[in-house]
Amino acid sequence: MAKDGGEQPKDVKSFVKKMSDDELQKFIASSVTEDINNGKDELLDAAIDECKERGLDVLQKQK
Amino acid sequence: MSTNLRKLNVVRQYVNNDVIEKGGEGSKGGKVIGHTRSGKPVYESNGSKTPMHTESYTADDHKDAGKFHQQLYQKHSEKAESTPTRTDKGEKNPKWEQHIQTRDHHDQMAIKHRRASRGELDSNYMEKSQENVVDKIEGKVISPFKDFLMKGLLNTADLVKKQITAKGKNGPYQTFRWINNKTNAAHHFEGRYKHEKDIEGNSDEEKINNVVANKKGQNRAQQHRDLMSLGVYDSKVHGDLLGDYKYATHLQKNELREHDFSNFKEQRAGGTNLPTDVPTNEKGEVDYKSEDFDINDIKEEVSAKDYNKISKFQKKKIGEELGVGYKDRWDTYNLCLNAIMQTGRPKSLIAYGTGGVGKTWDMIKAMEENNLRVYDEELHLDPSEYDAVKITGNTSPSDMYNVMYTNKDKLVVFDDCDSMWGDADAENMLKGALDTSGDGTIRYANPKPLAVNEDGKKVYPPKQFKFSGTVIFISNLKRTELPQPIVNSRARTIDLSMSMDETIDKLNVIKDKMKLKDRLGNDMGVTKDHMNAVIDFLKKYKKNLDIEKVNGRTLSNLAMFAKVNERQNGGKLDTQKYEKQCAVLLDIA
Repeated sequence: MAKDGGEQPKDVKSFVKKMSDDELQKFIASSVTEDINNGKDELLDAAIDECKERGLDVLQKQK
Repeated sequence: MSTNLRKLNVVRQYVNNDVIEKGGEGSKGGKVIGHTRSGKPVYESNGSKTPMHTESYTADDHKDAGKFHQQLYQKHSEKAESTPTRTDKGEKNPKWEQHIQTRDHHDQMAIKHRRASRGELDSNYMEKSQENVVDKIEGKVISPFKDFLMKGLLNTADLVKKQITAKGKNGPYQTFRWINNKTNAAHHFEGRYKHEKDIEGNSDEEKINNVVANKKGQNRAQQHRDLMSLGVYDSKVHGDLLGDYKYATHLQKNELREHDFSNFKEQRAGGTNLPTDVPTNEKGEVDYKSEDFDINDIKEEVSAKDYNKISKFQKKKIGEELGVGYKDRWDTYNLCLNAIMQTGRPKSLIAYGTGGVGKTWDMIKAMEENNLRVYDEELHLDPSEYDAVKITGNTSPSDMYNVMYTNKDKLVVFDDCDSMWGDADAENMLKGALDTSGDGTIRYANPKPLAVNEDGKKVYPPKQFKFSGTVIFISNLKRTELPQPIVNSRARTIDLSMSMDETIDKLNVIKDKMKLKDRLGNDMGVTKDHMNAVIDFLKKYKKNLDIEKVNGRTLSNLAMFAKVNERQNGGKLDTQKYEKQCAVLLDIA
C-alpha cells in the first residue's frame, strides 16, 4: 500500500519486484539522503514495501 | 605546484619579509623600553635605522625582551581598540593607525625574540639556514629547514575534523575543530597558547562556549588564542563566534606565522549559524534523525548559501552513516530513469549537480535500452511514431507549454533548460502538471501559436489541458536555484553533485566508454593512454583546479591535446610539456 492508503500502480510493483535485495536497499538508502519531499513517491513506497515483504532491513548500511 | 614547493615558497616569503638589515653592530642608540634581568637594554626597534643590540643576548635575555615587547603590544592593542578608526570627517584616524603600526611592530618583535630564545634565529633575527632555502627550492640540498617543514606537514596531515555546535553570538553555531587522529587532541602551539586541557570545560563544546562567554574577562587576543588551542583555525569562524573579524585576521596573518600557520590553511573549514529551533543531540550536533528535524525549516531562516552548506553536510553525514557514496546516487539516478521509462513513476524527476559528467549520457543510454523512440524534428513524426522528446537550451514558458501540450502523454526531457526556472508562469504550469495528487491540469493564458494552417491561420493550443506524461529535468544548477515548490513536493530529486575526487573518479570510469569522433563520425584516434594522461594530470593538480572546469568536455579536450603532443614528440608523450599545455588551458598556470 502507498503512504496515502491508495494502491500502487501495478507496473511500479512489478518494477521493484525485479530489483535485487542490494538494489532495493541501495535505492532506499540513497533516497533518504535526499532532502525531504512532501509529495507522493510511489516508487520509494513500493521499494520499502518490497523490502519489508522480503524481510530485509529497510535502512541497511551499504557495503 | 606541489604541496612541498608551495610550502617552500611560503618559507621563502617568510625569510624575505623578515630579514632585517644589519646595523652598526654593538653601537648604542634607539629608545630603550626596558632591561633584561641580566641588565641588558631592550630597544624599541632594531630595524635598519637603529642599531643591532642583541648579539650578546642569551636565550633568557631574549625571553625577557620578548615580554617587554609583549607588554607594549598589549598596550597598543588596547589603545587601538579604544581609539576611533575614523575622524569626524570620515578619514582614517592617524592616531589609530599609529597604534596599529606600533602594536604590529611589537608583536613582531615579541615573536622574533621568542624564536631567537629557541635558537631558531641568529642575533640579527635572520633564519640561521636562510641560504639553504634557495637550494632546497631548487631541489638540491635538504637544509635544516627540513625538520621544520616536515613537522608542519605531519602536523596537518594528522588532523581530522570533528563537528561541533557551539553557542555563538547569534545562537547555535556549527563548525569544526581539528584534532589529531591518534590523540584526539588539538595541535598545541608554543608561546602564549594554552594546552586544550587547561581550558575550562568538560566537553569540546563547553570549552568553546566558555571561551566565547569569557566569564574570566580575558582580553580578546587570548580568546582567539584559546580557540586556536581548541583546534578552531578559521578566521571567519573566530569572527562569527567572537564578533571580531579584524583581530582574528591579524592573528593569523602575523602572530601565527611563527607557527607556520600556512600549514593550517586546509583546516579553515568554515562554520555557520544555525536556527535556534533545530534539534541537537547530546553532543550538540544537529540531530537530523529527530522527528523535529526538517531541513526545509532551515531554509526559511538561513541564507541560500548556508542552507546549501547545511544540506550538503547533512546529506554527506546521512550518506556516510548509511554507506551511500556518489556511485550509489548515480545508480539511483539510473534506476529512476528506468523506472520512469518503464512505469511512468516517478511522474517527474530532477537530476541536478555537477555538469558534463554523464547525466545526459546516462539518460540517452536508458532511452536506448528501454527502446524509446525519440522525436526527431527532421523526420516530422506523428505523435504515434515516438515516445519521448528531448528539449535542450533556452526555453520560454510558452515554448514549454506548447511542448508539453504537443507531447502530453509522452516522456518530455528538459535538458539544461535552466532559463525557464525563475519564471512564475513556467513554475505554475509545472506545479499543476506534476502535482502528485492532482490530475495534471496545466493552464496558461497566453500560449503561442503551434503552427500556421493551410489557410494561413495560426493554430493555438487550448489554454488548459491535462498532462498525463512524465518529465525529466536535467540541470547543472544547485538545489536552491531550482523552483522550490517543484523540488519540495512535486518531483523526485537526485543530487548528482560531486567533490573534485569524486568527479575525477567518475571521469576515470567515463573515459573507457568515450569514443571521440569528428563531425563526420570518424574516430579521432584518441587512445586510452591519452585519456589516462588526462586523468593523471587532473589527479596531480586537483587542488589547483576549478571544479567547474573538470568535466567530460575537459577530458575530451585534454585527451586531444595529449594526442597532438604525442604526435609532435615522435610518438611519445612529452609529459612536462603536456602538463604545461593543460595548465594553460585550465587557467592554472
